[in-house]
Amino acid sequence: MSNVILMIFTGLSVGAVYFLLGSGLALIFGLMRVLTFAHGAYLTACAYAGWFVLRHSSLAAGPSVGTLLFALLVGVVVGGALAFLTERVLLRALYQRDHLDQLLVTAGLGFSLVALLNGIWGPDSRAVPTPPWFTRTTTEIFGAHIARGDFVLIGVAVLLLIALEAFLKHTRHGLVVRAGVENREMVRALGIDVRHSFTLIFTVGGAVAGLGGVLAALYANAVNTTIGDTYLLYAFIVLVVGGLGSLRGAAIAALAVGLLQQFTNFYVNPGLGEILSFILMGAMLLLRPEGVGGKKIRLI
Amino acid sequence: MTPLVLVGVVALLACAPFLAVPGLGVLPDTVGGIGSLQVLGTAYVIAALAITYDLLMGYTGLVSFGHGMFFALGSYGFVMLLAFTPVGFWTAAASAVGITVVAAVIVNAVALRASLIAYSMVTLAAAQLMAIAIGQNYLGSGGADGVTIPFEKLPAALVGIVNTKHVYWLALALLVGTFALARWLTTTRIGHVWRAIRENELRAEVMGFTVYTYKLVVALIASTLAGVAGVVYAILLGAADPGETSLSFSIGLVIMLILGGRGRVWGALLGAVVYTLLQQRLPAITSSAGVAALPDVVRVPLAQPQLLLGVVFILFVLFLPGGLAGVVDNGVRAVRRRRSGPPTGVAADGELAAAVSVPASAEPTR
Amino acid sequence: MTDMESAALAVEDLSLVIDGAQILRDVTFGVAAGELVAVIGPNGAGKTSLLNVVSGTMRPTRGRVALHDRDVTRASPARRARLGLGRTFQTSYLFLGLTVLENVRLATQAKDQRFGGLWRAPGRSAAALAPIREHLARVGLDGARHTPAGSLSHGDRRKLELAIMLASGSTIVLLDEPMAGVNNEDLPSLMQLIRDVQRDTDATVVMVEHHIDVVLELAHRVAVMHHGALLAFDTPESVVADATVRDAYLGEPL
Repeated sequence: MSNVILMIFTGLSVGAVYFLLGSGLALIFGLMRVLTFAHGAYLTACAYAGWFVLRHSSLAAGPSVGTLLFALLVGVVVGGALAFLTERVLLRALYQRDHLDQLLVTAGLGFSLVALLNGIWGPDSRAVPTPPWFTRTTTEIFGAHIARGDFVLIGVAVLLLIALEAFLKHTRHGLVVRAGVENREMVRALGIDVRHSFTLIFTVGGAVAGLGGVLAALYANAVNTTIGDTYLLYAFIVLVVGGLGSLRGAAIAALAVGLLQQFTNFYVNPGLGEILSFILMGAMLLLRPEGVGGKKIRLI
Repeated sequence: MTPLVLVGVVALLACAPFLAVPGLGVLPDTVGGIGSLQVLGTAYVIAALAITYDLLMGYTGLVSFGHGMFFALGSYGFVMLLAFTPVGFWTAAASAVGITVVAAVIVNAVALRASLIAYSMVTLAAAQLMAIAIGQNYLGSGGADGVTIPFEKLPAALVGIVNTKHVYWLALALLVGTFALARWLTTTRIGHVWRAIRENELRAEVMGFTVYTYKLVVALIASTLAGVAGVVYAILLGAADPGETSLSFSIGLVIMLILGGRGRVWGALLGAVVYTLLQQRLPAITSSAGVAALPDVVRVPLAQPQLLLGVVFILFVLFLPGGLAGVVDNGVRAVRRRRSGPPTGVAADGELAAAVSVPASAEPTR
Repeated sequence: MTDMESAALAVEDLSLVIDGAQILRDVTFGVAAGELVAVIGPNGAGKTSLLNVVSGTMRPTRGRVALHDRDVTRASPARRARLGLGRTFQTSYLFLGLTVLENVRLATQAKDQRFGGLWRAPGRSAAALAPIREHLARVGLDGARHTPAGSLSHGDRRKLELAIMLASGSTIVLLDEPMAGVNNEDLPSLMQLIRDVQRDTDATVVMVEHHIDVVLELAHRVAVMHHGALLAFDTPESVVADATVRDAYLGEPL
């Protein structure tokens, strides 16, 4: 029983990072119909940024809460800045063009950014000092010892979900996003200057990816140049399963994928969990291509 | 390019094994030397693969990030059947292609259910799945070491250093065949529908073309041909190489098409050549003394060939979406227009002169 | 309703709810073969959504769509096109990178998609091109046949849409604001074109339109939409005289 509880929590924290990345992608796609491959690279870049802040802390004692918070802040800022620059400089030029060209540019950017990181720090993993209370202090729930770090991750994801929902419901930009998910032509026809919303959403997506990057680095106690790509892959699965423009769908899917992975890896076979995630995605596409939260109705 | 010129070029290439011309820094030794023939053969196979990808991505607009998967299936299927089962050469080759077809049906039938943008993600995921499986040595696929072909099972004509030219000709035949097949397909009715799908998928659907089926057909054809190329590649290398399953391999195909130009078959060929050349030469440049002397801020980015490639890629997407082939086509058109006079007035049969400003996009005009 | 029995196009209890908003509300009507029905209504009344549901690009929450007595509610847009349904879009939706000729040629190709024929090249001879050029000549675009559709003026794009419609041989035609963006000089000729084409091909036409004079000129019957519901469905004169219709337009001149 305690194992089940443990699996649930680790599954949720894995899902939390997927949600961090996937939520940004869902909103960006919902509004801009751009699938951004660059956010995986932002995650990696911010993981390194976080490492950069934390690396001087001792490996044994771990960083202080202050340093930790600072690292998270740096992650958010760097992620947001990268995304902002990308949108202003690169994507703006391409709004008249095909969505595929936009996708290609973000893919190229992601590719280049990772190459740059490889050039600066090399492909080897670097250890990230993590506060001992993150991994070693545990709270007991029904006999399972859950690390504080798991709570942090889950907590951040939940807070993010609440914040994003509030944003969508109560702000003007949020309204534009929701309208955009529904009907792009209408948003354009209404003459609202959606470009500001585009920039905002893209930047928020980057900031959230950055946060995810630092947290992922803490969770794994290490960074290397491939973590972003791996998380991006699962974020994509989350997106397909959850429905491309749907925030709630992304949350449910992230939960499902995280739990599925952990349970399968533990109870059946390590590595099988990842494969099952792919199969889940395939099944979703066959049975309900619009995803859990997606809308079936429109083709345009 | 007239057919005569094409035939001439192919004939010239076919004579390569007999040429003692120096390799000009691009090739390891003389053109006819063993090493050069290997390099050229590899380039031909990759070019053929790029052409199959052009049918998928350039023509129909399906940006798959997992096309390398079918290439790898061809290679691995072929090699593993030879190495681990008693089947012979021809059975293994045919079965490998067969496996590729089945996989292509399964993967594409599912992936195409997703919207166009999601299709890229799904193909990426599928390719990653295969990469993981091979990396984990599933079914003895060898992990990072790959699998070598048991040479006793190959036909005598393909074994041994002295027969390198036969393998070279095989690769050349693959390229010529793929090129011809792709060109032919683009002239058919189905090719025109594919182009329409890329132009405006919904319009094609509303016009009466069941887009899903047409996409499935092009994906099947492209994937199957990729599988065939994979088999030839394995013969060329003497092994199945896990590099084929990597993400960078599939991305490399995308880069080739962006560099060379989408949607006009020969663009893919050009892109493959340029990309292979860059892959060869960039590391030499980036680690040269000149670059090493530059201050760190400039040197670090320049020392990463992947970064340079990525930046070039982005620049091409932004400013040269038609790729190098697009540049050439526009140049040819400009020359032709200048020769035949200004585009005003009406020609004899009432035809308006060609468009005043055709965007430098990926559209072929033929 | 008697007109449902012989209807070329019939919709029954069509409802469309998106995110809690009722876009279409129990819409029921039938269009007889060869009839031209205009659909009018203020913005947001659901007119384009109605066309979308009929053409298959949107799926209704409830209700039924039938073409020539065949239930097509679940059919894909392509299938409906093959059954004779044609549609134009509010903003011309063409293959912009392809020439005028190629656009129309594709429409003719859609009629015959037998597997064997797919692998042959489309005919290049004058005889093969003749029917296509005839359609183009009908709308006055034969001279521009090698121009990329993207380079055409707005009015010409409208004509191209009509040519595509002709080439598709559609028997049931949905026109989404065909006069939108067309300047006043071109209006009469375009109207004449639609009237002639409909008369010659005996097509059934459902036209969403805002220009009331166009409606009065061309339509056999008018359907008035308001807040997703069908307010009235009668001859143009009766509809114009209807008090509820006028109220719905809130004093907009009819």
